[in-house]
Amino acid sequence: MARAVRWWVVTATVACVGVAIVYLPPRGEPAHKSLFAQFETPTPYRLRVQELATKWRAATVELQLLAYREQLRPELEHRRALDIAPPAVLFVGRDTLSQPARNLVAAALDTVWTRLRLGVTKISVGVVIQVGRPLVEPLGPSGAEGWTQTYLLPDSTDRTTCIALLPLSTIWGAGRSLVEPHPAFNATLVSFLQNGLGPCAYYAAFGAPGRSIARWMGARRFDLALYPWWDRPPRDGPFDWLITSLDARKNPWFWLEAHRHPTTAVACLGGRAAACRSSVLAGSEASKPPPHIVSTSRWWQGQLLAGADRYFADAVRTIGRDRFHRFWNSEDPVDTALTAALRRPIGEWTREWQARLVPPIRLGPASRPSDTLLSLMLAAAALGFVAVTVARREVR
Amino acid sequence: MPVLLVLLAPRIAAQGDAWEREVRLHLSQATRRLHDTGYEQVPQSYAGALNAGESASFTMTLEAGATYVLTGVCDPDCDALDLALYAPNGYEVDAARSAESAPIVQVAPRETGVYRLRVVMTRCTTNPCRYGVALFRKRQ
Repeated sequence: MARAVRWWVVTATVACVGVAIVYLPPRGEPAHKSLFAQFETPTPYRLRVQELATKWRAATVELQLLAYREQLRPELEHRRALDIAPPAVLFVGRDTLSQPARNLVAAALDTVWTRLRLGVTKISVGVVIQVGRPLVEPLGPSGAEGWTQTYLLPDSTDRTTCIALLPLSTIWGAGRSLVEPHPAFNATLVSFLQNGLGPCAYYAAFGAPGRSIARWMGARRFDLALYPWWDRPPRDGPFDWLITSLDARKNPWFWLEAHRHPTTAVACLGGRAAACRSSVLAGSEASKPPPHIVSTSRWWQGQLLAGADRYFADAVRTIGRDRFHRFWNSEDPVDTALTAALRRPIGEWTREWQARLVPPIRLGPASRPSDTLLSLMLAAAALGFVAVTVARREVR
Repeated sequence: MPVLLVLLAPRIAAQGDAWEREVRLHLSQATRRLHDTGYEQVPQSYAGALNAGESASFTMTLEAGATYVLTGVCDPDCDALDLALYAPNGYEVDAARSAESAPIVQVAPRETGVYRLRVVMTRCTTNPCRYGVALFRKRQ
């Protein structure tokens, strides 16, 4: 064997060993063991403790929200009797807000209510502004930190009240301006309150959902009805960075964000109508009664549909309030009710909605035309170079 | 002025929302109609709010020998309200189904006992729908 060939064989073997070390897991190790999964598997005892802690947190939150509802009841009844439209407000927590600041919050809520075209509604909304850190910690039903917005939906003991608990920091965000000596009306506060109304705004605008719709929403943690943005044009929400991060033209790393979603959601981003339908209808077969408590804790993680948080808001704007109202209160199965409301196949409508929100991404092994052209040019150049070299070769 | 507010407060609380007021209005109209036909209202009425497809049950003591009428009304968003009355032994005595929004059931009990009334909100276009049921007894 020639000496040069031997070196090539050694180099190739070393490279193969290197690749094997990097990619093949040692025997007995999980294939996808990462730095974030270095912990030992929890013992059954620990799992049980965690389960109990989650239940305890959920019960604590529910009790707290029920107590707030009772505190708000006289004010809500007064408003109902006098046909006063905007929500009642209750300030709790380590409340340091001045009276002008409280009045400002009430005025901003009036603005939001008008903007959403809500008048006197069948289901009243009570907004609990929790100033500063929560008194009861941890607050989130799923172990979330205290800054999670939480909702007590109407239940069998009170079918006409929805409570929104909005933690408000006076250090950052919308609450910062409220502790200034002369608090002024600002868009951040209005936006915070509008987002904060969450599913309660849907209950106020359209009533309680029909049974199949409620079970479906419960199974999806109300992700499609999380924010009442029906007064805004598409792509004009406060969480636009999430949508922009999926835009291949604006973010070269869009695929990292896209693949955080389930496979059907990625396929819907790629413009496949059947996948869009599956993404929307996920959870529609649920038989479990819907929860009374809904939390926005980590809502952006693992969305079943990219931009799901604005799906219903866009539907309201596109199909009109009357048709959405009929859908929301429908007793038909979810797919029948939604198809009737959209007056088109769900997959088709959702595919177009998704494409308006995020330009369709390319799926599968196909390369972009520009990449193909560049490759062909490089190949042609290489062939040309070889041909020229061979033509000039001299044999001695 | 504070005295006036104190006096008004319970009245305001008792008024309820626009839908509740509507139900009370319908109930008072039904009472007038039944009064003209020889019935008097028993001071026992049932009210609440139900989503479409939900039901509620109430119990009442009815005396043998009397004739009773139960009438139900509901708010303008309610398209159909059903009533069903069950005897102490569990058998259905009378029912008003598919009666739109003003069902009526009638009973002349043979024995005094606790009867059960079942109210079903069959159709409601904006959940929940308010309803009210009043009990009337024929004047002797």
